[in-house]
Amino acid sequence: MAADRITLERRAEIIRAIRGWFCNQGFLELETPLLLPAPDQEPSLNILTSELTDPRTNLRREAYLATSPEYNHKKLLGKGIYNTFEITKSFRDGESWGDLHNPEFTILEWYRTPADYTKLMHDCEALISYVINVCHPELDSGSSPTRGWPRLTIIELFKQYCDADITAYNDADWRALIDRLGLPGAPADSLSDIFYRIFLNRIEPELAKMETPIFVLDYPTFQASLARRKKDNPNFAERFELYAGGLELGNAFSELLDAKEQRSRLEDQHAYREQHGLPVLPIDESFLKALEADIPETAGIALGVDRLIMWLLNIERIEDVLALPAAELFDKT
Amino acid sequence: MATTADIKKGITIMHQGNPHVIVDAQFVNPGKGSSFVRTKLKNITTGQAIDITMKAGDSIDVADTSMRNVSYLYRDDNNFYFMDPSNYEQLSLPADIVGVDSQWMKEGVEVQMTFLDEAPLAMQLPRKVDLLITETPPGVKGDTATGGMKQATLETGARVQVPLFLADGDVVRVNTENGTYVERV
Repeated sequence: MAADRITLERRAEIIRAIRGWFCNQGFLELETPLLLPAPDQEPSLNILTSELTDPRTNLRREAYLATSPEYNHKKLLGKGIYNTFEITKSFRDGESWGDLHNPEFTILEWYRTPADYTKLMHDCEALISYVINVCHPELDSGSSPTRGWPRLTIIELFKQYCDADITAYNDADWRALIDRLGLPGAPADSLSDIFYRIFLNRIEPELAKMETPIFVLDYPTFQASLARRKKDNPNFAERFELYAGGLELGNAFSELLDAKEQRSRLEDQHAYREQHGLPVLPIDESFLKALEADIPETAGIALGVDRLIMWLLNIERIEDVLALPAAELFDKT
Repeated sequence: MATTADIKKGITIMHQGNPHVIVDAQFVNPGKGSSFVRTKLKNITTGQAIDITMKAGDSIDVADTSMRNVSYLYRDDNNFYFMDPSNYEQLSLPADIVGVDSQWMKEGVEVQMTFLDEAPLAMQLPRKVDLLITETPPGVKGDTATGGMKQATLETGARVQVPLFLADGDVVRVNTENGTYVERV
């Protein structure tokens, strides 16, 4: 089912309120390219590929649909353009349609300078409470508390739900933990695979039971390729995810602004793609070049606008907040 | 060996030794690392639902199940009995597996039976069945405009809410999934 007229009106109202909050805060609204010369290297992302003709050579070349506007905004950081936001489309292939995913979806991305990820948690609370206030009383989630949402670290969550202290975990410790929990695993599992097998089966279902939105923070470094490491424990990085009603709404980092470390992480992902038979994608050299500039401490976040609307309107399926969801669009052609 | 790539809604897999039907499957990328498949499984015999998230590529054990339409014959204290019209073979299912569906079971109704290795495992009623009202209080005149409902007892003993204009001897179509009145037949 696609969204009806009333839902589309509410959707438009929410998006206007989001835009209003950022303008009030003095953020610069950007429109950045969707068609990119080099996409995100993240191995789990299935990238949609297109082609264009380079008029200088008359040759066809590959172009990629953006999986998020992240690289664009960071390139602009390198040019000294700070405190930006964008409401745009992003594209991800290979996920189920209709319930929680659509191959193109609306994403809200913002970057705050100077700031670390804790400032972005305040931004999330302030933004969403503003949206609820402006759109109230029509919104169904209006009664939900809008401040002081719990901040739960990954270490605390593993302690609580898996009875495990992962503070100083090494490779063998992770493999022993999944065995102890009795979850299936495969010998070829990477640490990320093990982490997610445990997180998705034992922890995420518990998050759905919480009454207010929550921040899950401080992920193991192998789970945060674009985030800065924590100063007091380099095994963990300054990343958080915002969950509401069990739904993952957003993902944020204290941005990694060290070009050298960023290059080494991208090269690792590139190599992983090669080893695992995934499409091998070019590394975006101009992105790495941009990070060589002297950029002050910056934090950035991507928030799924369709999912935020679902949560605010108490709608369970993403296709019910979209004017023309993929299943309807591709069914009849 | 089958893998998560073979997962589709409706197929039956073995999980911890018991057949489970996949009622929902979502392919997701949690953001970092591999893709995963969130599945909602329903134990075919107990009806109990569980959520299992597997990594894409994990192997799964597809159960050798088949489905055939069979007719309901009669019941006793412990079992419900059916006939397979293709070979007149008589089949039975324990009453606790039929469970709450027993309230809609009228002699002759055709149900879809699931077999595991050719043994009856579970049954699925049609989404709608037609049943006779055996007892319902008379409707109060003038109340119809409010869309009021009243309780009716059906020939199988089930109780449903029906519109006020219906009377004993009427046949109604009911939704077996949520137990609601659909229309007069």
